[in-house]
Amino acid sequence: MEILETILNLGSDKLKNSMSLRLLRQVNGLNLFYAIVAISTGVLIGVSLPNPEFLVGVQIVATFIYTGSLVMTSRGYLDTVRKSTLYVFEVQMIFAILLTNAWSSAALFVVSVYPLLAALVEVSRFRHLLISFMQVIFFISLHFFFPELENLVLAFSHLPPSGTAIFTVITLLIIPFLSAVIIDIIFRENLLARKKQKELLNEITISNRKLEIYSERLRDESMRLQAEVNIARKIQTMVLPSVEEIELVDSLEIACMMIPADEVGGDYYDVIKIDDTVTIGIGDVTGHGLSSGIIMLMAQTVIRTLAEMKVSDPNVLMNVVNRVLYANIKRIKEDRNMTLALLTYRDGRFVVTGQHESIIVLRNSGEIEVLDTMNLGFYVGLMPDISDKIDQLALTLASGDLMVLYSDGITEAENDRKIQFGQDLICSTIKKYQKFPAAKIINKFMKDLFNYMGDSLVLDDISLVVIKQK
Amino acid sequence: MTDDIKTNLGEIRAFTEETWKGLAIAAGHSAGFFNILKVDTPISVDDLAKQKGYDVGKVEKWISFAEGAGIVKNDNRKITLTTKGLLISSGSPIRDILAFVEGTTYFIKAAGSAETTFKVNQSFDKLSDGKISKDYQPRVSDNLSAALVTHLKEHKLEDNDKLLDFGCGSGSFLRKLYEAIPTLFYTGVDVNLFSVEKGKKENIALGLTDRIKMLVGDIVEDINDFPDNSYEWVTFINVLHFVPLDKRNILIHNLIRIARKGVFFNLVEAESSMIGLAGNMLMHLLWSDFTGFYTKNEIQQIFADLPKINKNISVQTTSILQGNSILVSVLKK
Repeated sequence: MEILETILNLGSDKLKNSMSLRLLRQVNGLNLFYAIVAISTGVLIGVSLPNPEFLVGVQIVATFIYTGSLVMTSRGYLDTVRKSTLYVFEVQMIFAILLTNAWSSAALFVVSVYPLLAALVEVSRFRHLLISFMQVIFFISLHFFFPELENLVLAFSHLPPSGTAIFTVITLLIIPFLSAVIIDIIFRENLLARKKQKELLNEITISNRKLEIYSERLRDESMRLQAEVNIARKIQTMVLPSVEEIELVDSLEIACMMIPADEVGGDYYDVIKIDDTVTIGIGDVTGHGLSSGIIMLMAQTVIRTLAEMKVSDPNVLMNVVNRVLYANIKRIKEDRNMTLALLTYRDGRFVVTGQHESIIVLRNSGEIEVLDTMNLGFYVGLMPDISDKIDQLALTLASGDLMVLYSDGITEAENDRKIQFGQDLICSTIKKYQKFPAAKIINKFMKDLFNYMGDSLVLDDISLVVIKQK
Repeated sequence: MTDDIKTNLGEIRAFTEETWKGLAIAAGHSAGFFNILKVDTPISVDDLAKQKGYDVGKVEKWISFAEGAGIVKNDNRKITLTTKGLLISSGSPIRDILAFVEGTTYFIKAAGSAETTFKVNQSFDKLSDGKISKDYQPRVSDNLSAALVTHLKEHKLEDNDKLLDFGCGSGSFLRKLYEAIPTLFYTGVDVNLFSVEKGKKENIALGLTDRIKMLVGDIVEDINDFPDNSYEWVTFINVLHFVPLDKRNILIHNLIRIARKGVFFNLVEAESSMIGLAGNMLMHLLWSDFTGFYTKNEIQQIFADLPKINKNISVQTTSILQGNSILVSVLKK
């Protein structure tokens, strides 16, 4: 039975969908059956009849074609074999009937099963019913209207009356057997297909349930993440300085803008005026989401506290911020840190400390200075002590001079061709709008940045601080 | 009581009644009932309350009012919308009416904070830190604009024509236009970064980026960035009343300069109806940058000036927004 299963499944590995398996097994089953019948008929005729060469020849050719069909299905030609098998059988029958005395040949009745065979291999039943009628008409015509031609053909077969009798017995046995086998194949394969369908349905039901569970989990997770992002955005924007606060700085014209990305990034900026000292901070916490937002809030709180305590020494400021953040980040077990630049402004002089993006200074004359902050500090919150890495830089602005602080969301903003905005474009854009008030510079800058980005979206927080010396 | 007092009392009572009715309808809108109620699918009061997580008793009271106002039909606590109700529901075929009803919600808020919103440089938009514009646009502006799509379609907008929409917000009007005429190339310009970003996201999600572009730009300051005849069509819908008075005419001139084939803009007139007068006042309380609807004289002046700008134009007008606004189509010959 294992051999039978192997033959029935020949070519199943080439199937593109499981629904074709039943058809493949039916086609293979029919070809195997035909091959066995053709061999056994050929052998029986060969040993029992004199001069059987033509009839045996037909059976040998048929056996060869049916076996070849099995080889073809194993190579993936199921559709070709499905369509050709029945034609081969029909041609085989023409020869067999002709050679066994057409009108009185018992094989004549085999033509009645053509539509049944067509149903088995899923080809047109109507076409093969027509073929069976045409064959019958052909044999009737031959017998009644062209008896000489029939006799001529019979002369080739040299079949004695005993031979005709044997062939009739074989044929009469074949017809019910053939019908039984076909019905059996259809019945078995349909049962098998139904079983497979049920198994498949079970699998799909189980998979669907699993998918539902995953989808529920995903929805919960997605809602949780969305809630986190909303909270993070709220945290990030609620502690930004208000226009009224910023306007308290009378010797500087300051304008700021932050556009949080969908996945809030953790950008930070602040302007704090305590007495005559203005503390300006800009930073970026690594990572996204709630944790980054909370760390940014911690940094803002520490900087605000130190400013309220009138700590203006940049080294002390940066050291304390680092120690507090390091300890807290360790406590919340998050792998985060931040870049942070702090500027203290007093008596017309800025002192810059900390590592962040370069600071751009645009002099009233149009001259641009790019101040690298790499050597002014280190990542805040990464190490317990960064005091040996902190340095400071002093600068003054003349009336009309501009200072621009920004986050990497601007330099790394990409256009439709994936080319980043970059520092050079920041400089040229700022220069273009140099004569405008700080708030208008920000609006114009953002207009140019967004139009540069085209259809690209804001993927990281965008922060911009423009400071103009009055 | 004199006849004069009687007449006035009657009028006051009548408009108070209409106001309360409007408030109750607005409450139904804010509560989201009009998104659930359908003309042909009844829903029980309990299900309605359950779906929204509301107090059944309060929902019942609203249903009683709505039934009295002819908005819903109550058949043994099975509620359906009437034809009148459909007109003011989210599925309304008359979008501008829906916009008026939805707008009431915002006017109530602005009026409720009148002690602040009447102050110089104050508005309900400012009070809410600009948050109301987020949902005002889909609920009011988009519905007002949607009513214009059919009017625009009447003109010869040819395949691959470029259309520029100034003051596009998040571009929902452009998307509506695209639905109606998908063969055009659309560009929207708005000063609000957040609206533009939101619009870009929506265009990406809908796969419309090859047909709809979004730009950031100020209608007044950046108008000169757009060369002459650079777009076949320019639309400027429900935006003029947000442009400073002294800039409006030059802006219209510029719109005509930019368009190769035609410009569509609308003028809202404040004087000839109560809805115009009240709307003009309430919009001032709602928006800080609202600069006012037009007077009759101003509109006449615009029509008198238009032929002087360009002799090769023809001007058509269509009454829109339930007769409260004029759609001006300036077509180049």
